Amino acid sequence: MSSNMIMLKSSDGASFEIEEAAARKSKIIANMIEVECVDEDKAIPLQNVTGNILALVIEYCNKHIVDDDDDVATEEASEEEEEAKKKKVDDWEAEFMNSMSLETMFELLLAANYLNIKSLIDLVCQTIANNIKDKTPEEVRKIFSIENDFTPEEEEEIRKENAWAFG
Amino acid sequence: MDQNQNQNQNQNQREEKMKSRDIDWSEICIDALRLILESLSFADFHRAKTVCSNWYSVSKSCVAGSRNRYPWLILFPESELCFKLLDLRHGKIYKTKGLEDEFPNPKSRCVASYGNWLLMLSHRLKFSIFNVFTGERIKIRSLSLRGNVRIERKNNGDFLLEHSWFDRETIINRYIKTAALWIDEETKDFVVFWIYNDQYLFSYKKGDDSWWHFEDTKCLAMAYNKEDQKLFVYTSDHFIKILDYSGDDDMPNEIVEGNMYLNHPFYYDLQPWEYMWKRRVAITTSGDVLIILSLKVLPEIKSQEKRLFYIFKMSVEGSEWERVDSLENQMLVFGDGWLTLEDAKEEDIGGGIIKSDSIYFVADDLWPPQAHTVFQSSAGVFDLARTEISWSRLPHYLSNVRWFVPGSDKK
Repeated sequence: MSSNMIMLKSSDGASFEIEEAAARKSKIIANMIEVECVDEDKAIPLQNVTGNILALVIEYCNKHIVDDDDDVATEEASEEEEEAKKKKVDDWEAEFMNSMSLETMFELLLAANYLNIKSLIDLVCQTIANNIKDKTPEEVRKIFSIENDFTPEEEEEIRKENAWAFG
Repeated sequence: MDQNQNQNQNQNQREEKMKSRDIDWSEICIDALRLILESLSFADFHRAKTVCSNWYSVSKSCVAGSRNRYPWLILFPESELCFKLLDLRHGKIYKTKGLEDEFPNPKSRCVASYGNWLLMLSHRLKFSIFNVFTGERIKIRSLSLRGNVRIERKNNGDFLLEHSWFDRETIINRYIKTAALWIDEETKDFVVFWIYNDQYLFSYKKGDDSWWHFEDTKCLAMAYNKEDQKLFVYTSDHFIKILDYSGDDDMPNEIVEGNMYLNHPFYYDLQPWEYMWKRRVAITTSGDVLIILSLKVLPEIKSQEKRLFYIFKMSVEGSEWERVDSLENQMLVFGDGWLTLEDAKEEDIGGGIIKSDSIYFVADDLWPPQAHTVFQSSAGVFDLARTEISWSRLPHYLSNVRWFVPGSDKK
């Protein structure tokens, strides 16, 4: 595996060096590389992503690059090995998400969406969804500090649309 | 210039907000919110949309639970004006309102489902389509029924049904077992089909003036392919006929040329130890017809009988029906439709499994159990690869239970 390095530059001017294979996790960056608008000496500017979030994205990509490389060799890997490996990744992802606040998750989601990294979008969404799981709307508002802007009548009306869910 | 100024202003406002409360979750961008909402389970989704007006309006453009659909059970209690919905995966039971105008004597029966919608049949032969979750109901033009011995289209659109010595309720309960429904969640376009006494096929498409009846053809089973709006009918002489519902006419057109099954009647030579119970048809998402036999096998005199399903598909050369042992990684829910699992992982959901290549059935789809069988649940899952059944752990035997798949396949 050649380890071409490319540079990414965050909106607040921080530069990061990343292996091309890892950067390719992002469809946007992969496209840029395909059409060769990546100048070897220049960093790719990512205007919508701040440095601290980009660092997380890169951490995620670096962790997952390995799995994709292994895909070629997996045919020989036993089922147990496969499972062990998958568990390791799952554990890592759980730990990775566990360490961040809802605000960070949100910014990470925006970044993943912008960079088009589907597996990371799914991971963040699922983690946020888990925060909402089985919660009442009141609890959800509290968790996310959202103000209820419905009138009592409006809220009643909307609840009626799916009264079963509040049973 | 103005736009730039606005943008700058917005940017500043946003930064203000970020400072005071980091992030305003009520105003997060639509794309991100949609992604989050669509990751929620079906019930979580319907609660979350009442959080605030922005979440509510974004929820309108989302398909609830679309990223992770799986079958639920629906129970129709006889004595209550409600339906019970069992989400086995999350171990939850929800209650929804039944058909209100039938209280206190619910007489309608569910004969088919599609997503959130049930096809209900009343004891007066009135069909309606009912959204389990919202209670929305679409009544379908009535089909007159008179006691007589023949079936025949009258000028006034009435149909005459056989078995006039039974009362109407008995006729309906005994002879209308096979039905199918398709409805578009957004436009509410729909088509319904049912077969009377393993013979007469009736259909009604939204906007039709009257019901249509497939004359001179005895039908045993059918399945609708929403992609090309065709109905595949399994006839009593074991042919597959194709009816095209895509036209604007009041009636479908039979497709003869272009019916690849035309000269290939289905034939399966039952072994002495195999006993046939029912036949069904299904259309895979790639458009292939599957014929599904429900049977009981008893290989040796003293061995335990086994009840299972065989699945047949037209060979690649298109010359003969051959048995297959996979459902192309999908799940088949009898009376509802197909389901593709986002996550191929097998999951035990406490009474049944969620797994690809399996069939979701109710007791009636299987050969009745042996007399000495003490307990049998009323719904189960058949694992094609292992040819094994896992039964749902329902509190007791219920005749009135079905699988259905909440959500929509619309994307």
